[in-house]
Amino acid sequence: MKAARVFLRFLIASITAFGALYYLGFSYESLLMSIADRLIHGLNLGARLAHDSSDQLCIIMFLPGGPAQFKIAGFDWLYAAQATAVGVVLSTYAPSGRKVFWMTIVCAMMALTHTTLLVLATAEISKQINGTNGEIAAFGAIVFKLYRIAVPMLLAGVWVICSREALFAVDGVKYLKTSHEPDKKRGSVRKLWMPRVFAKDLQSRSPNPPVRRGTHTRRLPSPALRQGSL
Amino acid sequence: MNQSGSLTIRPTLKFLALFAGIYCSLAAILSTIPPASHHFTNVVTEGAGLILSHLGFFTEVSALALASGYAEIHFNSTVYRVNEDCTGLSIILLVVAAIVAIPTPLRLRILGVVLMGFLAASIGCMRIVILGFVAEFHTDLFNLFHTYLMEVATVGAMLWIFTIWCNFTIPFRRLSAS
Repeated sequence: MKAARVFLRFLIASITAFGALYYLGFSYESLLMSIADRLIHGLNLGARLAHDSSDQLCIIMFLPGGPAQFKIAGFDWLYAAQATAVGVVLSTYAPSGRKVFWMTIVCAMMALTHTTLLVLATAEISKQINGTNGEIAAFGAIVFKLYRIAVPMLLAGVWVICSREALFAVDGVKYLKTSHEPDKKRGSVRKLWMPRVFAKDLQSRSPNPPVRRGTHTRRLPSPALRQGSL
Repeated sequence: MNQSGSLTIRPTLKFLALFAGIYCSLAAILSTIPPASHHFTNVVTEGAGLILSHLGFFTEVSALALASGYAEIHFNSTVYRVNEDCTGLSIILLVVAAIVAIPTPLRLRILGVVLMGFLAASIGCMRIVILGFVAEFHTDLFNLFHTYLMEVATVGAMLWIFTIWCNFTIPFRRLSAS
Protein backbone atom coordinates (compact mmCIF):
# COMPACT_ATOMS: atom_id res chain seq x y z
CA MET A 1 0.00 0.00 0.00
CA LYS A 2 1.20 3.46 -0.77
CA ALA A 3 0.74 5.71 2.26
CA ALA A 4 0.89 8.93 0.25
CA ARG A 5 -1.76 7.62 -2.15
CA VAL A 6 -4.09 6.73 0.72
CA PHE A 7 -3.54 10.13 2.34
CA LEU A 8 -4.10 12.10 -0.87
CA ARG A 9 -7.16 10.09 -1.89
CA PHE A 10 -8.64 10.58 1.55
CA LEU A 11 -8.03 14.33 1.47
CA ILE A 12 -9.40 14.79 -2.07
CA ALA A 13 -12.50 12.64 -1.50
CA SER A 14 -13.24 14.17 1.86
CA ILE A 15 -12.77 17.77 0.75
CA THR A 16 -14.93 17.15 -2.33
CA ALA A 17 -17.66 15.58 -0.21
CA PHE A 18 -17.48 18.41 2.31
CA GLY A 19 -17.66 21.01 -0.46
CA ALA A 20 -20.69 19.26 -1.96
CA LEU A 21 -22.41 19.02 1.42
CA TYR A 22 -21.55 22.63 2.23
CA TYR A 23 -23.10 23.93 -0.97
CA LEU A 24 -25.94 21.39 -1.16
CA GLY A 25 -26.12 21.31 2.62
CA PHE A 26 -29.55 22.78 2.76
CA SER A 27 -31.07 19.81 0.93
CA TYR A 28 -29.15 17.26 3.05
CA GLU A 29 -30.15 19.08 6.22
CA SER A 30 -33.76 19.28 4.99
CA LEU A 31 -33.82 15.52 4.42
CA LEU A 32 -32.49 14.80 7.91
CA MET A 33 -34.76 17.46 9.39
CA SER A 34 -37.95 16.06 7.85
CA ILE A 35 -37.20 12.56 9.21
CA ALA A 36 -36.20 13.93 12.61
CA ASP A 37 -39.32 16.10 12.69
CA ARG A 38 -41.55 13.07 12.12
CA LEU A 39 -39.77 11.21 14.89
CA ILE A 40 -40.15 14.20 17.24
CA HIS A 41 -43.84 14.34 16.41
CA GLY A 42 -44.17 10.60 17.03
CA LEU A 43 -42.39 10.85 20.38
CA ASN A 44 -44.59 13.80 21.47
CA LEU A 45 -41.64 15.98 22.45
CA GLY A 46 -43.77 19.12 22.11
CA ALA A 47 -41.44 20.69 19.55
CA ARG A 48 -40.93 20.93 15.82
CA LEU A 49 -37.87 21.34 13.64
CA ALA A 50 -37.96 23.94 10.86
CA HIS A 51 -35.82 26.26 8.79
CA ASP A 52 -36.27 30.00 9.32
CA SER A 53 -36.19 32.67 6.61
CA SER A 54 -32.36 32.66 6.58
CA ASP A 55 -32.28 28.83 6.18
CA GLN A 56 -31.11 28.42 9.74
CA LEU A 57 -32.16 25.22 11.52
CA CYS A 58 -34.55 26.05 14.36
CA ILE A 59 -36.47 24.28 17.10
CA ILE A 60 -39.98 25.57 17.70
CA MET A 61 -41.13 24.83 21.23
CA PHE A 62 -44.79 24.96 22.13
CA LEU A 63 -44.68 26.70 25.51
CA PRO A 64 -47.76 27.73 27.58
CA GLY A 65 -47.14 31.39 26.66
CA GLY A 66 -47.01 30.59 22.95
CA PRO A 67 -44.49 29.04 20.54
CA ALA A 68 -40.85 29.99 20.97
CA GLN A 69 -38.13 29.61 18.35
CA PHE A 70 -34.52 28.59 19.10
CA LYS A 71 -31.79 28.57 16.53
CA ILE A 72 -29.47 25.56 16.35
CA ALA A 73 -26.04 26.49 15.05
CA GLY A 74 -22.81 24.57 14.75
CA PHE A 75 -24.07 21.60 12.78
CA ASP A 76 -21.10 21.81 10.44
CA TRP A 77 -19.57 18.88 12.27
CA LEU A 78 -22.33 16.66 10.85
CA TYR A 79 -21.08 17.51 7.39
CA ALA A 80 -17.50 16.99 8.57
CA ALA A 81 -18.35 13.53 9.90
CA GLN A 82 -20.20 12.60 6.70
CA ALA A 83 -17.35 13.88 4.53
CA THR A 84 -14.79 12.00 6.63
CA ALA A 85 -16.82 8.81 6.17
CA VAL A 86 -16.83 9.28 2.38
CA GLY A 87 -13.07 9.94 2.41
CA VAL A 88 -12.40 6.85 4.50
CA VAL A 89 -14.27 4.55 2.10
CA LEU A 90 -12.85 6.08 -1.08
CA SER A 91 -9.25 5.97 0.17
CA THR A 92 -9.34 2.19 0.57
CA TYR A 93 -7.71 -0.42 -1.64
CA ALA A 94 -10.93 -2.06 -2.77
CA PRO A 95 -12.77 -2.86 -6.01
CA SER A 96 -15.32 -0.22 -7.06
CA GLY A 97 -18.30 -2.45 -6.30
CA ARG A 98 -17.22 -2.96 -2.73
CA LYS A 99 -16.54 0.76 -2.32
CA VAL A 100 -20.04 1.62 -3.54
CA PHE A 101 -21.58 -1.00 -1.24
CA TRP A 102 -19.76 0.23 1.86
CA MET A 103 -20.22 3.88 0.96
CA THR A 104 -23.98 3.35 0.79
CA ILE A 105 -23.97 1.61 4.17
CA VAL A 106 -21.69 4.17 5.83
CA CYS A 107 -23.55 7.23 4.46
CA ALA A 108 -26.92 5.77 5.44
CA MET A 109 -25.60 4.92 8.88
CA MET A 110 -24.21 8.42 9.38
CA ALA A 111 -27.44 10.03 8.19
CA LEU A 112 -29.46 7.84 10.55
CA THR A 113 -27.14 8.64 13.44
CA HIS A 114 -27.31 12.36 12.76
CA THR A 115 -31.10 12.23 12.58
CA THR A 116 -31.17 10.46 15.95
CA LEU A 117 -28.81 13.07 17.38
CA LEU A 118 -31.12 15.85 16.11
CA VAL A 119 -34.06 14.24 17.90
CA LEU A 120 -32.02 13.83 21.08
CA ALA A 121 -30.76 17.42 20.89
CA THR A 122 -34.37 18.57 20.65
CA ALA A 123 -35.21 16.48 23.74
CA GLU A 124 -32.27 18.04 25.59
CA ILE A 125 -33.39 21.58 24.75
CA SER A 126 -36.95 20.67 25.70
CA LYS A 127 -35.66 19.41 29.06
CA GLN A 128 -33.69 22.58 29.71
CA ILE A 129 -36.58 24.88 28.85
CA ASN A 130 -39.65 22.92 29.88
CA GLY A 131 -38.19 20.43 32.30
CA THR A 132 -39.89 17.67 30.30
CA ASN A 133 -38.52 14.68 28.37
CA GLY A 134 -35.79 14.16 30.97
CA GLU A 135 -35.53 10.45 30.25
CA ILE A 136 -34.96 10.88 26.54
CA ALA A 137 -32.46 13.66 27.24
CA ALA A 138 -30.53 11.41 29.65
CA PHE A 139 -30.52 8.73 26.98
CA GLY A 140 -29.20 11.38 24.57
CA ALA A 141 -26.10 12.02 26.67
CA ILE A 142 -25.25 8.31 26.57
CA VAL A 143 -25.90 8.10 22.82
CA PHE A 144 -23.68 11.10 22.16
CA LYS A 145 -20.86 9.56 24.18
CA LEU A 146 -21.28 6.29 22.29
CA TYR A 147 -21.33 8.18 18.99
CA ARG A 148 -18.00 9.83 19.80
CA ILE A 149 -16.38 6.52 20.69
CA ALA A 150 -18.06 4.14 18.23
CA VAL A 151 -18.10 6.14 14.99
CA PRO A 152 -14.30 6.44 14.63
CA MET A 153 -14.01 2.74 15.44
CA LEU A 154 -16.64 1.79 12.87
CA LEU A 155 -15.02 3.94 10.20
CA ALA A 156 -11.63 2.38 10.94
CA GLY A 157 -13.29 -1.04 10.74
CA VAL A 158 -14.81 -0.24 7.36
CA TRP A 159 -11.42 0.92 6.08
CA VAL A 160 -9.81 -2.34 7.20
CA ILE A 161 -12.63 -4.49 5.75
CA CYS A 162 -12.40 -2.70 2.40
CA SER A 163 -8.58 -2.89 2.26
CA ARG A 164 -8.35 -6.42 3.63
CA GLU A 165 -6.51 -7.93 0.66
CA ALA A 166 -3.88 -5.22 0.71
CA LEU A 167 -3.49 -5.51 4.46
CA PHE A 168 -3.55 -9.26 4.93
CA ALA A 169 -2.75 -10.90 1.58
CA VAL A 170 0.96 -10.19 2.20
CA ASP A 171 1.00 -12.68 5.04
CA GLY A 172 -1.62 -14.84 3.40
CA VAL A 173 0.71 -17.85 3.33
CA LYS A 174 -0.13 -18.30 6.98
CA TYR A 175 -3.69 -19.11 6.06
CA LEU A 176 -2.87 -21.14 2.96
CA LYS A 177 -1.09 -24.34 2.24
CA THR A 178 2.32 -23.88 0.69
CA SER A 179 2.20 -23.18 -3.02
CA HIS A 180 3.75 -26.55 -3.96
CA GLU A 181 1.75 -28.70 -1.56
CA PRO A 182 -0.85 -30.82 -3.41
CA ASP A 183 -4.45 -29.99 -2.60
CA LYS A 184 -6.04 -33.10 -1.07
CA LYS A 185 -9.54 -32.25 -2.31
CA ARG A 186 -8.59 -31.37 -5.85
CA GLY A 187 -5.56 -33.59 -6.21
CA SER A 188 -3.70 -30.76 -7.92
CA VAL A 189 -1.11 -28.17 -7.00
CA ARG A 190 -2.74 -25.23 -5.26
CA LYS A 191 -1.72 -21.80 -6.49
CA LEU A 192 -1.42 -18.75 -4.32
CA TRP A 193 -3.83 -16.38 -6.01
CA MET A 194 -3.36 -12.64 -5.72
CA PRO A 195 -5.79 -10.09 -7.08
CA ARG A 196 -4.54 -8.42 -10.22
CA VAL A 197 -5.01 -4.95 -8.77
CA PHE A 198 -2.29 -5.57 -6.19
CA ALA A 199 0.08 -7.50 -8.38
CA LYS A 200 2.04 -4.41 -9.36
CA ASP A 201 2.51 -3.32 -5.77
CA LEU A 202 3.53 -6.71 -4.52
CA GLN A 203 5.72 -7.79 -7.40
CA SER A 204 8.80 -5.94 -6.20
CA ARG A 205 8.42 -7.41 -2.70
CA SER A 206 7.37 -10.95 -3.47
CA PRO A 207 10.07 -13.51 -4.32
CA ASN A 208 7.58 -15.38 -6.56
CA PRO A 209 5.62 -13.08 -8.86
CA PRO A 210 1.90 -13.61 -8.41
CA VAL A 211 -0.13 -15.34 -11.10
CA ARG A 212 -1.79 -12.82 -13.38
CA ARG A 213 -5.19 -13.33 -14.85
CA GLY A 214 -6.50 -11.99 -18.09
CA THR A 215 -3.07 -11.41 -19.62
CA HIS A 216 -3.61 -13.33 -22.83
CA THR A 217 -0.88 -13.04 -25.43
CA ARG A 218 -1.60 -13.61 -29.04
CA ARG A 219 0.20 -16.67 -30.35
CA LEU A 220 1.78 -16.16 -33.75
CA PRO A 221 2.08 -19.09 -36.16
CA SER A 222 5.56 -20.59 -36.21
CA PRO A 223 7.78 -19.92 -39.27
CA ALA A 224 7.76 -23.66 -40.06
CA LEU A 225 3.98 -23.65 -40.41
CA ARG A 226 4.11 -20.61 -42.62
CA GLN A 227 6.60 -22.35 -44.91
CA GLY A 228 4.35 -25.40 -45.02
CA SER A 229 1.34 -23.41 -46.01
CA LEU A 230 3.23 -21.85 -48.85
CA MET B 1 -16.32 -13.24 -3.52
CA ASN B 2 -12.93 -14.10 -4.98
CA GLN B 3 -10.52 -16.57 -3.43
CA SER B 4 -8.20 -13.94 -2.00
CA GLY B 5 -11.14 -12.09 -0.48
CA SER B 6 -12.38 -15.21 1.30
CA LEU B 7 -8.88 -16.09 2.47
CA THR B 8 -8.40 -12.71 4.12
CA ILE B 9 -11.71 -12.74 5.97
CA ARG B 10 -10.43 -14.78 8.90
CA PRO B 11 -7.40 -12.56 9.65
CA THR B 12 -9.55 -9.48 9.06
CA LEU B 13 -12.14 -10.63 11.60
CA LYS B 14 -9.40 -11.54 14.05
CA PHE B 15 -7.82 -8.12 13.58
CA LEU B 16 -11.17 -6.32 13.96
CA ALA B 17 -12.07 -8.19 17.15
CA LEU B 18 -8.69 -7.44 18.72
CA PHE B 19 -8.77 -3.83 17.49
CA ALA B 20 -12.28 -3.19 18.86
CA GLY B 21 -11.39 -4.85 22.17
CA ILE B 22 -8.22 -2.79 22.64
CA TYR B 23 -9.85 0.46 21.55
CA CYS B 24 -12.87 0.00 23.84
CA SER B 25 -10.62 -0.99 26.74
CA LEU B 26 -8.43 2.09 26.25
CA ALA B 27 -11.49 4.35 25.97
CA ALA B 28 -12.98 2.79 29.12
CA ILE B 29 -9.70 3.21 31.02
CA LEU B 30 -9.43 6.85 30.00
CA SER B 31 -13.04 7.59 30.92
CA THR B 32 -12.65 5.95 34.34
CA ILE B 33 -9.32 7.65 35.04
CA PRO B 34 -9.80 11.28 33.93
CA PRO B 35 -6.36 12.40 35.23
CA ALA B 36 -4.77 10.24 32.51
CA SER B 37 -6.49 12.14 29.68
CA HIS B 38 -5.96 15.44 31.52
CA HIS B 39 -2.24 14.68 31.76
CA PHE B 40 -2.11 13.94 28.05
CA THR B 41 -3.99 17.17 27.29
CA ASN B 42 -1.50 19.07 29.42
CA VAL B 43 1.53 17.44 27.74
CA VAL B 44 0.23 18.22 24.24
CA THR B 45 -0.68 21.79 25.22
CA GLU B 46 2.76 22.32 26.76
CA GLY B 47 4.30 20.95 23.55
CA ALA B 48 2.24 23.33 21.43
CA GLY B 49 3.19 26.20 23.74
CA LEU B 50 6.86 25.29 23.38
CA ILE B 51 6.63 25.29 19.58
CA LEU B 52 4.83 28.64 19.56
CA SER B 53 7.34 30.26 21.92
CA HIS B 54 10.23 28.89 19.79
CA LEU B 55 8.58 30.58 16.82
CA GLY B 56 8.90 33.86 18.70
CA PHE B 57 5.33 34.37 19.94
CA PHE B 58 4.27 35.20 23.44
CA THR B 59 2.83 31.98 24.88
CA GLU B 60 1.65 31.05 28.34
CA VAL B 61 0.21 27.65 29.25
CA SER B 62 -1.98 27.24 32.30
CA ALA B 63 -2.97 23.88 33.75
CA LEU B 64 -5.14 25.35 36.52
CA ALA B 65 -8.40 24.31 34.87
CA LEU B 66 -7.29 20.74 34.09
CA ALA B 67 -9.68 19.34 36.69
CA SER B 68 -12.51 20.79 34.57
CA GLY B 69 -11.15 18.94 31.55
CA TYR B 70 -9.18 21.58 29.70
CA ALA B 71 -5.85 23.41 29.70
CA GLU B 72 -5.53 27.06 28.74
CA ILE B 73 -3.03 28.47 26.33
CA HIS B 74 -2.51 32.20 26.02
CA PHE B 75 -1.13 32.98 22.59
CA ASN B 76 -0.59 36.67 21.74
CA SER B 77 -4.05 38.18 22.17
CA THR B 78 -6.02 34.92 22.21
CA VAL B 79 -6.75 32.51 25.04
CA TYR B 80 -7.81 28.98 24.05
CA ARG B 81 -9.25 26.18 26.05
CA VAL B 82 -7.69 22.92 24.89
CA ASN B 83 -9.64 19.79 25.79
CA GLU B 84 -8.95 16.16 24.93
CA ASP B 85 -10.86 16.41 21.65
CA CYS B 86 -8.55 19.21 20.51
CA THR B 87 -5.51 17.01 21.15
CA GLY B 88 -6.92 14.24 18.93
CA LEU B 89 -6.76 11.73 21.78
CA SER B 90 -9.49 9.43 20.39
CA ILE B 91 -7.69 9.18 17.04
CA ILE B 92 -4.43 8.36 18.85
CA LEU B 93 -6.26 5.57 20.66
CA LEU B 94 -7.42 4.26 17.29
CA VAL B 95 -3.89 4.21 15.91
CA VAL B 96 -2.50 2.53 19.03
CA ALA B 97 -5.25 -0.12 18.96
CA ALA B 98 -4.68 -0.76 15.24
CA ILE B 99 -0.91 -1.11 15.69
CA VAL B 100 -1.29 -3.54 18.57
CA ALA B 101 -3.87 -5.57 16.62
CA ILE B 102 -1.59 -6.08 13.59
CA PRO B 103 -0.05 -9.57 13.98
CA THR B 104 3.64 -8.83 14.62
CA PRO B 105 6.15 -9.86 17.31
CA LEU B 106 5.54 -8.32 20.75
CA ARG B 107 8.69 -6.18 20.72
CA LEU B 108 7.69 -4.66 17.43
CA ARG B 109 4.22 -3.88 18.74
CA ILE B 110 5.68 -2.08 21.77
CA LEU B 111 8.08 -0.16 19.52
CA GLY B 112 5.18 0.72 17.22
CA VAL B 113 2.97 1.96 20.04
CA VAL B 114 5.78 4.16 21.41
CA LEU B 115 6.84 5.51 18.00
CA MET B 116 3.41 6.00 16.51
CA GLY B 117 2.01 7.34 19.79
CA PHE B 118 4.79 9.94 19.84
CA LEU B 119 4.16 10.79 16.18
CA ALA B 120 0.41 11.06 16.78
CA ALA B 121 0.95 13.31 19.83
CA SER B 122 3.24 15.51 17.70
CA ILE B 123 0.45 15.79 15.12
CA GLY B 124 -1.88 16.82 17.98
CA CYS B 125 0.63 19.54 18.95
CA MET B 126 0.84 20.78 15.37
CA ARG B 127 -2.93 20.85 15.17
CA ILE B 128 -3.13 23.18 18.18
CA VAL B 129 -0.35 25.37 16.76
CA ILE B 130 -2.11 25.69 13.39
CA LEU B 131 -5.45 26.41 15.05
CA GLY B 132 -3.71 29.04 17.17
CA PHE B 133 -2.36 30.76 14.07
CA VAL B 134 -5.74 30.65 12.35
CA ALA B 135 -7.50 32.06 15.42
CA GLU B 136 -4.95 34.83 15.71
CA PHE B 137 -4.65 35.88 12.09
CA HIS B 138 -7.80 34.58 10.31
CA THR B 139 -10.58 34.47 12.88
CA ASP B 140 -13.18 34.19 10.11
CA LEU B 141 -11.72 30.82 9.03
CA PHE B 142 -11.39 29.41 12.53
CA ASN B 143 -14.72 27.54 12.54
CA LEU B 144 -13.95 25.86 9.21
CA PHE B 145 -10.50 24.82 10.42
CA HIS B 146 -11.68 23.73 13.86
CA THR B 147 -14.74 21.72 12.86
CA TYR B 148 -13.52 20.32 9.59
CA LEU B 149 -10.10 20.92 8.04
CA MET B 150 -8.00 19.99 11.06
CA GLU B 151 -10.24 16.98 11.78
CA VAL B 152 -9.79 15.70 8.26
CA ALA B 153 -6.07 16.42 8.29
CA THR B 154 -5.70 14.51 11.55
CA VAL B 155 -7.70 11.50 10.32
CA GLY B 156 -5.69 11.53 7.06
CA ALA B 157 -2.41 11.71 8.99
CA MET B 158 -3.44 8.77 11.15
CA LEU B 159 -4.36 6.74 8.03
CA TRP B 160 -0.95 7.63 6.63
CA ILE B 161 0.79 6.52 9.85
CA PHE B 162 -1.15 3.25 9.91
CA THR B 163 -0.40 2.51 6.25
CA ILE B 164 3.30 3.18 6.80
CA TRP B 165 3.26 0.85 9.78
CA CYS B 166 1.52 -1.89 7.78
CA ASN B 167 4.13 -1.61 5.03
CA PHE B 168 6.96 -1.62 7.55
CA THR B 169 5.71 -4.80 9.21
CA ILE B 170 5.32 -6.82 5.98
CA PRO B 171 8.73 -8.62 6.27
CA PHE B 172 8.14 -9.40 9.95
CA ARG B 173 4.64 -10.73 9.21
CA ARG B 174 6.01 -12.90 6.40
CA LEU B 175 8.75 -14.17 8.68
CA SER B 176 6.32 -15.13 11.42
CA ALA B 177 3.99 -16.67 8.83
CA SER B 178 6.60 -18.90 7.20
